[in-house]
Amino acid sequence: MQEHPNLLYVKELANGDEVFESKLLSVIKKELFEEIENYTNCFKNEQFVDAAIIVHKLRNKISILGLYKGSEIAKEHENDLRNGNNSLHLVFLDILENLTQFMHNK
Amino acid sequence: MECIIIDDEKTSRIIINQLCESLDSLEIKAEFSNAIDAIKYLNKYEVDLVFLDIHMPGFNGFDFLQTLKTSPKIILTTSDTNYALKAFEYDNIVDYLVKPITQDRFTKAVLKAEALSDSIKSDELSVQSKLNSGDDELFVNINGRLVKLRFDEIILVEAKGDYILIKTDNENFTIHSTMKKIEEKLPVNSFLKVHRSFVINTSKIIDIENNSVLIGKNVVPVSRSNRSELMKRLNLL
Repeated sequence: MQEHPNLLYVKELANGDEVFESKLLSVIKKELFEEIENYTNCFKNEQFVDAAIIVHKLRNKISILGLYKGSEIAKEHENDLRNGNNSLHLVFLDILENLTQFMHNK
Repeated sequence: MECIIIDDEKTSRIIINQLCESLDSLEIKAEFSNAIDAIKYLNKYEVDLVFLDIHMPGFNGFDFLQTLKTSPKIILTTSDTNYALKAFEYDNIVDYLVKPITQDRFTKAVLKAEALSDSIKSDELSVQSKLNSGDDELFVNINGRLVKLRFDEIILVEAKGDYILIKTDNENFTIHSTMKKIEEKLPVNSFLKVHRSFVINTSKIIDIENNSVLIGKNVVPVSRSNRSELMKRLNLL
């Protein structure tokens, strides 16, 4: 069953501070979309080590947005990519798509 | 405590900033998206605490630690748990926070850094204020008691996490301090760091075999990088 992203961590951190919450979400959104684009480009060019570095950054956002299983998959994918193995790419893309849809509405 | 944040992700810097906001004792002096800019800053200004991301492209957190000339307290912030063991190799790392960092865990780490910092300051004060006019001894704070140690009585000093163990001819002392601090106090002509966890009094060496030294009743490892300096110190026939 697919996990659903959530803002539990963000809201707990903001502790009712809506200005902070909005600022944080805006930065997460900007970095997320940039990193997804960078990841896609690196992957297309078979620059797997560079792709792994971006997966590492994405992993932090995946956790922040509450996808704990997604974060574990990202960790495995990051390690695999460093070893030239891209077998989790499609699964990882599903996670990114899930996050993209969630963040588009924020 | 004056602190800086080093993390290549803006998201993380904003989060750490927010976590700091809730603690009055912390004052953020600067934020850096890369370790090299932070090194340049620390060459000019002193801070008490650094929140350091390990995973940064190019020059990572451990590269940063090896380049540091000063020794502020370090709290590592990372998405990985697999560097925890390596973190223990550095005396100034006080805690290891796994992202996403919660407020409770963050507060606990900062309190730990503060406690350690206060304790070391107190140790330093007692050592400095009681340093004799002579150059052959120092005082160390053992449970509130200032104990005089003559340099020629000290056999070796061993790092033990947040503590150091000083072995002398007659007694051993465990004190809350760092290898870096004690190294600064010991005379360089008779004491030598032979391993990251050991400083020895070279006049007490009994024999040397391969990569170890017998000193008093202790066998101390000698790292490859320190072996040549040790050999230079010896009056070899």
